[in-house]
Amino acid sequence: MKSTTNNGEGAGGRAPSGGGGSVGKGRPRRGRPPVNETLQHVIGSQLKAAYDEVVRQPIPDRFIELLGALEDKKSGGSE
Amino acid sequence: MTDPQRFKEGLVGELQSLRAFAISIAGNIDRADDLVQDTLLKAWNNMHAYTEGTNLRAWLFTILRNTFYSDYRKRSREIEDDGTYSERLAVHAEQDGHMDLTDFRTALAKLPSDQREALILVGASGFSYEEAAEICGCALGTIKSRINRARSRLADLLAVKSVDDFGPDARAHAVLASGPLSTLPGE
Repeated sequence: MKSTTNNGEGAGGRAPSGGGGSVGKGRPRRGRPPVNETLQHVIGSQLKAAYDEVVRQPIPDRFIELLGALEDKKSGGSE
Repeated sequence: MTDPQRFKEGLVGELQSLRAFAISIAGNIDRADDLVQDTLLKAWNNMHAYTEGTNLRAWLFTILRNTFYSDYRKRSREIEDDGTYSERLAVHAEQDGHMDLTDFRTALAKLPSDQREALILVGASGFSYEEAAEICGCALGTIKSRINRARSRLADLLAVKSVDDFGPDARAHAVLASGPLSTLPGE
């Protein structure tokens, strides 16, 4: 339940459950809501992971072949 | 004068990255591969326009992006449909490693294409905001605002989702996360 320590900010003063729960523990009241920070961190990692998966796809041979052919043509003196 | 052999090696080194960007904007692997091929041909034929020592990846991404928007997009308006994009990107879903990225992909697919593109360029491809603005041919402020909106929207989508997945504790997170997201890390 660590999220309830953030009462008083971010949620517009509406504490999810009341309960007079533990507030504080030396967390700054102002500044970035920690939940957003966590969430943005997660989003950042997931974005990288999802993209890296695509980056790691094997490259079709046709691209290497194409570049090889272009280079040969060039060095072979294509007028 | 660009040395053809070094230029070719440079292109080979960027192939994976170029193809990933192509997949992310074309949303379909066959189309992405055609796009990569066209980009390689254009790059090769315009080798003289590339200044050695400058960012080859950014140069290639710019060509690829321009090719997509001038040649491909008009042929395939349906690509902008959210559902289509989501399904096509899901081709890669079976390769998930330690992280279940299905929800993330679904959320990513819901973003407008300009926001998704900006987010991928900066958040995944390692470009600076300035480079991303150059690649997209828009102002720096436009890139920043697209990325902020993208992050904010993703946070909303993923926070709401986590309420269903993880119960009441996540619900509290969702309430907090649905507040203003104006202060983002790294801004």
